[in-house]
Amino acid sequence: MADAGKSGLQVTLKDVHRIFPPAVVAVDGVSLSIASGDFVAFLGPSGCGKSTLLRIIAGLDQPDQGQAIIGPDHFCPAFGCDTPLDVAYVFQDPCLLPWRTVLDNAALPLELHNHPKSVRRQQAAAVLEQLGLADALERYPNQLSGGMRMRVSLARALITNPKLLLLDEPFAALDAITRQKLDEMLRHLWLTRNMTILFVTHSISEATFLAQRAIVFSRRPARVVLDHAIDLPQERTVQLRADPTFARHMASLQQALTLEEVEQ
Amino acid sequence: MSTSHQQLPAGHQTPDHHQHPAGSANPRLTNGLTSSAAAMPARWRGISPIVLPPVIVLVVISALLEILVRSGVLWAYIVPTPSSVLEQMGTSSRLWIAAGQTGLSAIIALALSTVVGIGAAIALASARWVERAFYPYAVFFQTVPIIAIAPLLVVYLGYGMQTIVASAFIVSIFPVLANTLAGLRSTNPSLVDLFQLYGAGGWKTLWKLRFPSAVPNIMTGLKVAAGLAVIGAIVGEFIGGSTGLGDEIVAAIPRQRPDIVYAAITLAALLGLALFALINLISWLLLRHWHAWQQ
Repeated sequence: MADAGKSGLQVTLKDVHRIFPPAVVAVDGVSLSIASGDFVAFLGPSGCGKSTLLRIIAGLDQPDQGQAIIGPDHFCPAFGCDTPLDVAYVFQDPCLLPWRTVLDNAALPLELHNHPKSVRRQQAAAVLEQLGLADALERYPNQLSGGMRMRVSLARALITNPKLLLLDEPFAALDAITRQKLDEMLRHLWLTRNMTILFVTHSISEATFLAQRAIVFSRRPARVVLDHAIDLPQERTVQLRADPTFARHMASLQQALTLEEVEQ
Repeated sequence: MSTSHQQLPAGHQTPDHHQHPAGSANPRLTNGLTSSAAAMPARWRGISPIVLPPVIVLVVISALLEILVRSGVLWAYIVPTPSSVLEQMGTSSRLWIAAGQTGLSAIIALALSTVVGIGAAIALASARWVERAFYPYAVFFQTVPIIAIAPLLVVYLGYGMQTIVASAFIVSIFPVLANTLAGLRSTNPSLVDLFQLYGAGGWKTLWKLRFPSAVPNIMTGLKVAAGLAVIGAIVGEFIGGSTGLGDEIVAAIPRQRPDIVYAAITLAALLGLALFALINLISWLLLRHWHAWQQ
């Protein structure tokens, strides 16, 4: 990804702490530097604080101590700063608006930024087509399968051409086959668009398949346990999962997670 | 197996042939049964076991009452014969006009409750302190019986439709207010985050997210409010009006006309049902795309 550096946002965390009242320490001094255009998986036990970290990076929550710096110069100290359209967030649930068609759901971010109707619909249709939803534009979310809903959710995130895409266990509720397809789709999207991706998951194999770099977090409060580079080929297909190098990467991540279990 | 079959003498095949027509007669028999059942439209076969039992109960009880009153066991000035109630409903245009007046008051009150109730809920949801300061009074207000307030309404508003509408409005606003407020408070927090991420302000989030998310709750509130509005209108007519079903009931009792009273009661119930059905229809139209969704 030589050219990715041109436009993906870089993320720098400096000694980030987050304590929820009264005294639940969710994040305990995390410092990280994520290069622009990288694909990083955040791995860790459920409820370890990795989602909190993602929310802080998105500017939806603020650290009690430390800083989250997005981009080379954009400094987002807290709420209230101009949230740039450069950041997109995909949730665990598709979180679609049931009263809107697929097209109008995907167009929502542009609508909230007052783009004219014709422009935003045209762009939404283009993104939805890229994600294989060209036939579903006028359908409503309740007429879609779980995998299709997630793809609409992805389309909504991609419509602004984000430079930083944050995903919080987006495919966790889907069946294995749909999940694999969406993993491949996401990997392809990353290769064809210039964006940094942070992907929260608790699936070791998903993290290995998707990411260039996996960061393993401890149980709450979240601290970095392992920072592991995944130097697998750029083009990844399902066959890769049977590869011995794939298994070796998985084993390293598994070991870090297991050690974390034993310590507790 | 097949070889042993081939070795069977020809004589053994005749019972087989006899059995085959008998076997094929069975499907014919079941076909005959299903075709006679299919003569009834498919939907009726599903509905009749639901509709038939209560209709049978109604017919039997009505017939019993009719016999008891006609034979003099029950006095006709206490309990009317079902046939005389039906006759009143069929012949008295007065009663239908009265039902129309009550219905109009109830619908106006329901419309007011919808607008004011939703408006008040939005105001209460705008800030925590507003809700804390005012909501207890809304709850308290709701517990005061309408029959106790109605004479006061006459003092303030005089006799007439305005008092009837006010009475129906007072009893029907609370379910709309409470349900709308609950709906506005229960917006999916992830979606609130999403709107925040894209820089949507309070009004945009309210109009494009929180209010539409609350529509199922609003419809639930309106279903309760519809029945209450009819009750409130009739109470208003008892005390502060000279029109409507309430007035017909008040006038019929001293004249010892239980047939009119029962006919008015039946019409009032039908009115409540009709309003409820109307709200259900609107609800279905608005929420068609939500079904099988509730996540």
